[in-house]
Amino acid sequence: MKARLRRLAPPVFALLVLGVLASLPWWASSAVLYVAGLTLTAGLFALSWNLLFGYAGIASFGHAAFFSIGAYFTALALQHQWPLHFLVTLGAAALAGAVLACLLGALALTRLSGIHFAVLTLAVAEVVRALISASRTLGAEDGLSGLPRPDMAFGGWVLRLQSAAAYYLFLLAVCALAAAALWLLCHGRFGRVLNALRQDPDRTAFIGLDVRRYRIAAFTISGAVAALAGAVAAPWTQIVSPETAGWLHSAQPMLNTLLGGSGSFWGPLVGSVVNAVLTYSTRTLAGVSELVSGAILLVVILIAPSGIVGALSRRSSRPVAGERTAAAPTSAAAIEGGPA
Amino acid sequence: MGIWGFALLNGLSVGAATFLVAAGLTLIFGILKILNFAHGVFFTVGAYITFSLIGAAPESTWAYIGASLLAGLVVGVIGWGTDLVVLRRLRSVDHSYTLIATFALLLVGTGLVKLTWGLSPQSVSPPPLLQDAWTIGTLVLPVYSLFLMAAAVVVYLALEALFTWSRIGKIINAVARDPWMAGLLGINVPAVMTGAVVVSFMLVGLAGGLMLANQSLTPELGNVYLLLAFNAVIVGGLGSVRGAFIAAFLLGMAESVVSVLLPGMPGIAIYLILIAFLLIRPQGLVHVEPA
Amino acid sequence: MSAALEVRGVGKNYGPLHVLREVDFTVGTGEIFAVIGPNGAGKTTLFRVLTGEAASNGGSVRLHGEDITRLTVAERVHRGVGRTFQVARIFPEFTALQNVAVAIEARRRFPGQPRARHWNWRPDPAVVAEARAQLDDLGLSSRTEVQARLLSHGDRKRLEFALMLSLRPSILMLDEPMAGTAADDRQTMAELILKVRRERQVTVVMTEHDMDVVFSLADRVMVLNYGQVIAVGEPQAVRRDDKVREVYLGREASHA
Repeated sequence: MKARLRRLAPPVFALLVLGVLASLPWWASSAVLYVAGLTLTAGLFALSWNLLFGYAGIASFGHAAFFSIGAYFTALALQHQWPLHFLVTLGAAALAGAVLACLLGALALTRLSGIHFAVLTLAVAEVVRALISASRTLGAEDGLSGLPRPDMAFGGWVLRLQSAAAYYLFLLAVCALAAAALWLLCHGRFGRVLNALRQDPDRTAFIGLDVRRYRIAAFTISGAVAALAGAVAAPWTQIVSPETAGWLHSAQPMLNTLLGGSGSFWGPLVGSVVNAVLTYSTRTLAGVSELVSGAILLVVILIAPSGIVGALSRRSSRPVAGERTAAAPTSAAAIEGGPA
Repeated sequence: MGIWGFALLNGLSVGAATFLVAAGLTLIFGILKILNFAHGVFFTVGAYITFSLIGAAPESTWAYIGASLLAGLVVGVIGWGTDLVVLRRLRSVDHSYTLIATFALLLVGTGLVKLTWGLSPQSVSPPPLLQDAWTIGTLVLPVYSLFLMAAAVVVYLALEALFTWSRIGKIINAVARDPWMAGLLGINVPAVMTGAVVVSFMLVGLAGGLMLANQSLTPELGNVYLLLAFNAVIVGGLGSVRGAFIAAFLLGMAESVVSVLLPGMPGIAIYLILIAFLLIRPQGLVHVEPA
Repeated sequence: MSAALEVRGVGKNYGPLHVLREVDFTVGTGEIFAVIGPNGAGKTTLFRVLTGEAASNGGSVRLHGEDITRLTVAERVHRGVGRTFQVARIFPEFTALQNVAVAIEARRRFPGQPRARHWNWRPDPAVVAEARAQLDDLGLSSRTEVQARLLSHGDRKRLEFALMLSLRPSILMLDEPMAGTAADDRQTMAELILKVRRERQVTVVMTEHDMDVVFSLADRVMVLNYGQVIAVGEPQAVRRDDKVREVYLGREASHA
């Protein structure tokens, strides 16, 4: 009986959280709602990053490149009112991210590992940012602003998402669905293989798995989800700028993930929420939010390297079969001494 | 001065600036095997400290240099403290955690800079001696650029001398190659590591001070240079000062040349070269052999 | 006895340094074949060429008649190559059960295997059951829920064996299977190898330093020195071979 209750607890909890989030438009201030929306996309972005880092053991320092591709694609589609259903736009944006990731992965993941790969991703993101800044069509340094929120037609019925509340709920739905899909992926065979890959790539090859193909697949999916996060974020913020592809933005999912813990699926989301709360509550005085975020991250690193989720779960009893149990740092392979 | 002359000069200036920042970065990588993300922030701190010491319109060149040296010292002390509180604790843990810690330091440092000096950009003009330009024939050479190039060369020669001839340099090299073996030989490895961190921070603080003039001083200043320095360090070969020196100027020149040949092109030449190097010769120009 | 493994003219050099020269030998199906030689003789390199971790400079390797010289590690595993490492490599964060389960899941997707119809994200109960059986077979049933990195040295070696066996290999490449084991454990390991060979009709190729083990287990022995084969044959014959004695004279004292 107890075991069944424990098995039900996480999904019930997740539904509760979802319910609370969905109720926000009715009682939260517009500012809080805005931050909530941003946190949702940041959380999805962080999830995509952790698929790569926590699961496959690959560090990407330029993940904002994918986010910005999705964001700018959607921005263009909305601003120029392309005759595309918004869901198609989202799909195409995710596809764009997937394609770039696949190309990059195929080119680089065999040759490079660890820090070299990480810096490569950083360089690619900088190239993307520079190209955006130089392009008049993309609004150059000022970016594209005043993006209209979409309408979506389903048969005879039209869903209007102009209001913050309406678009927020749509955003929530997209992020929840994407997160659920990732959850299934990470807890299934693919996730198990990535996990194995991260722990010992040579051993993984010796159980007959094509390490390279799995790595590229992980990178492709990660890029697609990051682009989706960007695509769905653009109409929320109603503005995109080259900084969306900038280095500091690439650092956000890293920060969020490590704060919450890269060793668990939910870590990145927890970290995103904590970071959002911190940043929001310290937003008045310039510099305080970075100080606080940085200080907390430092404390986490020095005292609880597996992040908030890691620290909490160490208190609970035995891990569920299939759940990653790493309490000790395991992402060494990601940065240092990756496979040759 | 022809457009090529200008490009040449510009390239050398950027190269010099890049090297001044990259020197410390490659040093800390050679010893600790980490890319210090906080490196840019300490550059900014060095710049702001120098600004606080000499104000917006310094009169004396020596005061300017002196203030920069002092800033370097202060940042070196900060580096020592950082090592004590943060980096030392992470020596035996995976490098990924140290990387994240440096990233956290970046955030903390940026926050402190904003709180201490505010957000509004400051502008410092170079001391009078360094303000004008020397004209040689058709070449117009801004003195300040020459000053930075001279500084880069001085720093480079000093580091080369240190590593090639002095005993301390050889000890540092030994620790960089094989800390365990060095420890067996009686070298005080923790002290050397701390020392390397301090020197690295001092260099970047000094760089911040020297490069303060002629640009807009904001809390984000260091980040731009950090990226350039990353490039130079990777292309030059992680851990090699000589490589960083060559790469810094190479990249600076490449950027200038590209901007002359393809004026509309945004500043991506450097990154494209970096990407090419990573794909073709990831160990960089000067490969430092690990043990 | 048909040939499981045919190695012809395999060489390997790193620049001017020749680690292997013209290595030629055949291993029959079901044989236990030991490769021995002093340190630096090229045993590990030969191993890595056979498993696909290193590419040879010339020569060919045929497995059950098929040329596998150009195949990747994973492809060779699909064709029946199993491998253990000198220091047992398992997945440290997974439990023993998860370790074996992941291998079985991988095997079920080998080319040529029937499509496994399983749609739950959790592992197929059939996989878990097989994993348990495999661990039982190797005496690890009490360790199924223990994280692999917490296992004792001997248990880790057995877990690695279990991992390898779940892939249903036809040829076992064992890299110093006795390395780091105490004397009584060596007996157990030797018995395990014999049992596996008997029950699954596999071929075994092993490198080893422990001469007692080699001479008691191996059907045939090959001696390498400076990358060249200096003797191949039954253990007793090799032991009496003059060239071999010359190589090992003076080294027997240093073998603990």
